[in-house]
Amino acid sequence: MSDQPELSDLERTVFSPLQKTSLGFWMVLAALGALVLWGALAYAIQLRDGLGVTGLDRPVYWGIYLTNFVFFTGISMAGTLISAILRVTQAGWRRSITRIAEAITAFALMLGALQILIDMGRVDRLLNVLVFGRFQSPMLWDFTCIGAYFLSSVFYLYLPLIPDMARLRDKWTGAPRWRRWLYRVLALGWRGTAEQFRRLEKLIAIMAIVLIPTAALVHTVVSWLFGMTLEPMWHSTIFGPYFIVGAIFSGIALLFIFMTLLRRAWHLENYIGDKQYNYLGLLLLAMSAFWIYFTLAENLTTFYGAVADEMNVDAAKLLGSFSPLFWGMIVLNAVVPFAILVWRRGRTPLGTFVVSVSVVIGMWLERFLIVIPSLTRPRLAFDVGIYQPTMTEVAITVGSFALLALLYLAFFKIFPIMAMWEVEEAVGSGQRIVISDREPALQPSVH
Amino acid sequence: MSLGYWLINTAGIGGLVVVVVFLVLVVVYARLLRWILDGGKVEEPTDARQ
Amino acid sequence: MPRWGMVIDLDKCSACQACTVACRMENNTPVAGPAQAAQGRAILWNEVIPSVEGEYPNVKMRFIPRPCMQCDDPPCVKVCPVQATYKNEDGIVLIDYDRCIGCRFCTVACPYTVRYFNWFEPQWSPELRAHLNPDPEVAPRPKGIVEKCTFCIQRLHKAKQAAQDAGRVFQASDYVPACVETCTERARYFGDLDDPTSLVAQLAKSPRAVRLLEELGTQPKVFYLREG
Repeated sequence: MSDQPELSDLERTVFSPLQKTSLGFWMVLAALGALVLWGALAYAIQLRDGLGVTGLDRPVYWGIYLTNFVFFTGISMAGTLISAILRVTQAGWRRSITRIAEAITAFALMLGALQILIDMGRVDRLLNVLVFGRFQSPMLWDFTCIGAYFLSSVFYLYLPLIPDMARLRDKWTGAPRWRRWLYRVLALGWRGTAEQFRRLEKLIAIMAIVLIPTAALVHTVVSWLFGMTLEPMWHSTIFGPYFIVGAIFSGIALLFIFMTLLRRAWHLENYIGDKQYNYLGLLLLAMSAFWIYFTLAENLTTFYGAVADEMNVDAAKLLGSFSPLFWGMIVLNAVVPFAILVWRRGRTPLGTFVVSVSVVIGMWLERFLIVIPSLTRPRLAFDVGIYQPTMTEVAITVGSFALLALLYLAFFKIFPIMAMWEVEEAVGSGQRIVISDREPALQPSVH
Repeated sequence: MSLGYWLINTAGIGGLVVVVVFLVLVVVYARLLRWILDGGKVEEPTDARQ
Repeated sequence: MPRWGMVIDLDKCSACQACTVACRMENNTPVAGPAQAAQGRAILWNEVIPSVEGEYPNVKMRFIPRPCMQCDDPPCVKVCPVQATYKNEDGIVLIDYDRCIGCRFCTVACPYTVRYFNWFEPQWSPELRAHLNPDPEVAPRPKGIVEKCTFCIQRLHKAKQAAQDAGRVFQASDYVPACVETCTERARYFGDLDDPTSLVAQLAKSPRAVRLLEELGTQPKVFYLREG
């Protein structure tokens, strides 16, 4: 620490988690690693024996792997979209949390794609999708959109990183060799001239606008994987927008969880404060309202019309064997957010954390209730399908969530948690971003 | 058989779309990066920041 | 080109399930065993499904023999990402076992749930293994891919070959799937739906003829003659 050039308060905050890693953090990583290993082992057994080790059967051909796929791609929406919307609307308080959000997108998309590979009976033939891919299949739409979205959001994550990489290259002279090499390569010879910054900011602004429709498209085609079939309650026009709303909803919730954990572990209390929790809390509440609206629209239309095939499925959800999950989901996604977030005192780190955990669980259940009940009651239902996930599926699911957290934490041990130049810019222009919990936030100045 | 159906039904064309979209984006993004960095070559009196 | 179709007379069917057995022996579908079968893992390209309608005392039991519907507008073919499942020039929906990636999009898209997945590597007891059909076209499928009724396409290929070898023109009556040939009550009819003089075409126009989930517009080529 002694041979450092002088660092600002912000730089010290950002650099220190990169420089020092506590024993506790290593233990968290080890625990996550063990869970990932458990999942990997379960997958190895599944590869060896076949998908029969899952609880899948005929007609429930898709289970919690597809649930996870929808869930992970859903939370991927949060990062880029929130960051992009807040950027487009020039919300100054976004500056300290955009990277935290954007990183979720990249890793959640990886995990989402991984679920499809895990679900495939012959993953060794994956390349057939490129060699023999036919575009009439919604699966090709998914490959196209998710591929484009992944690439674009990684690019969008990388752009604001460039000046930070240059700063780490220049100011952290005592860094280990591999870090010095990494930062030097990723800085791309950045000099930080005014023209470079002007172009960078312009491109970031354009990418933000491009990404919003791209993200919407991704969640729409994910829903169309289901919506294009004739399965009762899947074959519905509401699916596209319903998936988007659910995606933003669950995404903000996961953002809150990661943001709150990192805020504590990385000591960011001076940069992520009241304002972020208050505003994002309101956004989460608004998304809960949207989600309630869509859920009502879907179920009321189906229930009122009571077409036999669809009613079979809906009755199982609302009144039948899936009803504990359904009403549990309503409590987690609607009751809990409203009970806590409508109060100003609820939109605190603790309050939003509780709501977010509730929403993440609730939205996973929502995805489960989209995928499974329709399959148990197909149109030509001579019998009701059964689905009981096995330990293999549980292990792979837990391992996947652990892998997401592991990748995410490791990422922020290598890359700075905040775009330092953006945060400084806000301070420089009078947009106060440095907010402590005790002191009320200042009004942003006019631009 | 119409051209439209041929396009969506022929094996390989879908895969080609995925690959082309991906490659086009890689090229576009690489060029945009180049463009940003070339901002450093523009004549300027002083470095504004850092 | 003939449009192969099947008519099943429910008045004649005695639910003996000989069709199911014949199909299994002809097409080498693996044996799942009771536990797996109870879990919905049995692979039965042709299945005789008991269907109970109403409640006691107004109850009626029906049996519905169910092969693949061989839709003219098959929802499974639409969704396959790699064209592993396709409709051939005879209008029969087939699967390329070497290309299928096992994503099970087709199994989910089929409203009749007639498509089956190989959950494990196929197994037979030694006695059954000795009686596997040696035809390479129906060689056992590996685990992780989808399979289903093909109207015994291998029999069509053999019939065409036989006609060619004998130096005569192939006729629709040369080709018959195993379930039709075996049917103890002669409840199944098979042939060219486009030939107005054929028995299947005439039966398919009968006022008793119905198709399953006709309202979906999938145009199945399997017709049922309602119980009179």
